[in-house]
Amino acid sequence: MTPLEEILELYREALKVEDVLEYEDVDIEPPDIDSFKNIEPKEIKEIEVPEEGDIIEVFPSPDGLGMIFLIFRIYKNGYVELLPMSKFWELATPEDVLIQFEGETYIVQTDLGFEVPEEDFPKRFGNRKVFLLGKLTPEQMKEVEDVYEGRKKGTGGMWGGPKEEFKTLESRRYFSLFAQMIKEEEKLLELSAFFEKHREYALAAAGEEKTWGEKEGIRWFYDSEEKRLILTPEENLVGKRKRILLEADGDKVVLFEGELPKKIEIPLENYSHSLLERSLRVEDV
Amino acid sequence: MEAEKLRDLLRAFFERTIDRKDYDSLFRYLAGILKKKGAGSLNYGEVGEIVRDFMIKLLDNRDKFLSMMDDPTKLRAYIGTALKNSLVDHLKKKKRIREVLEADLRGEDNRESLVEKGEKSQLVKNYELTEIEEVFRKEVKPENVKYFCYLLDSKRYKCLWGDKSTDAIYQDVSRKRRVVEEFGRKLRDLRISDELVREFINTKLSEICEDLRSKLCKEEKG
Repeated sequence: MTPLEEILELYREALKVEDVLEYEDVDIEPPDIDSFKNIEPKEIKEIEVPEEGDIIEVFPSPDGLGMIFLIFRIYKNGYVELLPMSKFWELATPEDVLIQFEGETYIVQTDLGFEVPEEDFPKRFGNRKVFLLGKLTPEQMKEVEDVYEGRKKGTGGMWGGPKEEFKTLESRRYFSLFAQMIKEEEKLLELSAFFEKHREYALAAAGEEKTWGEKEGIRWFYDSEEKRLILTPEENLVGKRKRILLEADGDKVVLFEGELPKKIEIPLENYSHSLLERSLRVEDV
Repeated sequence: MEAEKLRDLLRAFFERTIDRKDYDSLFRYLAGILKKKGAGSLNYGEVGEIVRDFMIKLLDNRDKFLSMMDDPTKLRAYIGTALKNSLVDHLKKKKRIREVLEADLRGEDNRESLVEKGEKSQLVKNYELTEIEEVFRKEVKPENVKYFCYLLDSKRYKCLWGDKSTDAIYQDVSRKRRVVEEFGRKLRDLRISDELVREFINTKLSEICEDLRSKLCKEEKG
């Protein structure tokens, strides 16, 4: 195995999620507990408004590796272009720019960018949180721009072999995140259409004060400021495979399908307590 | 360890209310996972070092992990994955150090200073050159290496043919042209920039040819 193939193997290993933690007894003396005393945690905030040069992390990642992006450009058409970053800098191709950030080395991958609407930016990532990790310097941004625009070659000198495989795996990761976002977007549109169609219930919402309820083991709360519907399944339903849906007059919209987590958050503009109370259903998958 | 128990220990660790006994359990639990995962490749000293660094990272990213406290099962999987990736980082680093040490043994002591200076772009190039060299060694039979050397510097490497005349060498090289072409095709598969090909020729291929020359040419032997 060549050194680059070995790095690629480590990358594949890093992608795996460790669901089952195997363990063996070890006889190691822990360091003094006081040695952690002086470590001040970094203040990590969730991003509110994206700015060019920001480095963000979409958390938790859908796979084993962190999903870190550079907010590269904010276009006038209302879209934000994100360029993915990776700590596997050894596999850099000529499209990638090596950068040092917070004591770590990353590559910014200029060939794997994708666009996300600027409006409600953090909400576009569904139930995931978007943390702001820091910002690139203007010099670093210039380097990225030069490679993105083709004025300069990036760090690597090779596209093929293990590097090609790395790029394929990397593009799949971001494509799947992007596809999930589109799915969320479609769900949102579907949900809006559902509420619009069954307007007689939705209209009642204007005068409604009740923002919470419970049906079939699912509690809900509507956060009117954040415009999010928060569903909390009862303890005995958590971990079971279920479908939560709204059904009214033959129309259906699926809010969630799969193994129930403790909390599900869904963006929702036009909440109606009576419509939810009437139409929410839970079924086995 | 139960996911809820791990969650509670982590919370106490983050809030700095953890007592000595719980701290020991948390540390030994993380070390036990790591030892199992990296069995064979890690000694106890390394395990202790990785877990300590990992716990610092946990503290550093406390806000992120606190946001997952509602779902202990997910949190445990996330902790396990992050710990495994600390091991991956350690192995990557160890691998670099090993390569540096090997390079030192070959007399290329500049590579260590490259790591110290964080000249990662040079390391990227070194990895690429090694990749091409590996392909070269795999694809080109030892008896065919001399044809590459001749194309590199016909005057310097004609001694690889012993006492044969220039015409005879030229004819031999022409006949074996496909060997060079085949390697060229392999390089195209790797999609290498022209600059990197030049660098390979000037560094690695030159080294290989010099090595061959020192073994086969009379004047070098003498």
